[in-house]
Amino acid sequence: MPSPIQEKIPNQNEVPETIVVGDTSALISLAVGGVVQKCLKISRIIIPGFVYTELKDMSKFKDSHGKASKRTIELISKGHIEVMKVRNKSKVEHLISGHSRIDEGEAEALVLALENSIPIMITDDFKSLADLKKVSEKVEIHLSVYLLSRLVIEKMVSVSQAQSALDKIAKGRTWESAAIYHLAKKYIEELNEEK
Amino acid sequence: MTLEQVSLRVDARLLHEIDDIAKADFKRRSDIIRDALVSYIKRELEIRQLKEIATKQFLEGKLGFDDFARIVGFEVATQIKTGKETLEESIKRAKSDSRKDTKSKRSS
Repeated sequence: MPSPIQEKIPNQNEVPETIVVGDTSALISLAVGGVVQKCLKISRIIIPGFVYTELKDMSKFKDSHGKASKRTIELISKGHIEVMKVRNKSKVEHLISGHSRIDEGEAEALVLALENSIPIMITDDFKSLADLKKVSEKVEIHLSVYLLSRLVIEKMVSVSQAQSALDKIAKGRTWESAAIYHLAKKYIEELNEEK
Repeated sequence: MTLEQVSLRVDARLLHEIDDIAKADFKRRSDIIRDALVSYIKRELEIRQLKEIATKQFLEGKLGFDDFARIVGFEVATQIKTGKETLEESIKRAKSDSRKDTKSKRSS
């Protein structure tokens, strides 16, 4: 299979206005929740090369995260999720060495967003959130719930579908992370009341 | 209940202590190790349950950060606090971007 990694963001016709950069945790969440393809209708999703490598490694496992990685890789090979090369590798190194909780995938995702003026990075790695927000400069750090909420607001999924996706996502995570997804279910319910 | 066999390596001094307890309690070595494992798991589950209750209380605004941090530890408390804040920011941004998208779709 030829490498899907691109140097520049390609111009595409008929694409959503929103662009986000995702890390492995966010992509896995959306895939486990079964909503990635719908998310691609409202936002372009771009990932750095290292996240692509992490997904390939994870796809070897037979658990829910492994299966989710496999589905995500299929979307990459079809060109629906775009993989881009990070230019400033020394900035990636600097982020990793200066912050023990930021891993290579997250660092590459943030640098990719900064280099291409992409305003949003999505991650579901709660351990690195605080550190990422300290160094994110103009990039806003959000959870995958950002895209899930938009699907609800834009009536592409129902509240109960979104809540069921959050249940599936929470299942494979630590109890600390699961607590946030349970809170997200409440906020999603409130989105419905606001309509 | 089916019993599975496991083998483990322990420090000689610890094994000696296990044997002393077993002798005093008229039990077998394996019974002491099994009892220790059961009470450890039970305690861990209780602590986790307590932490989960504290987390729920904190997320509902019924428990302050300092008390929450005393129960779950500062690192976990900070992680959950940041998670909650980011969640709220993500929902807020989703609302604003959806409104923008709807407007631009209408105008085009």
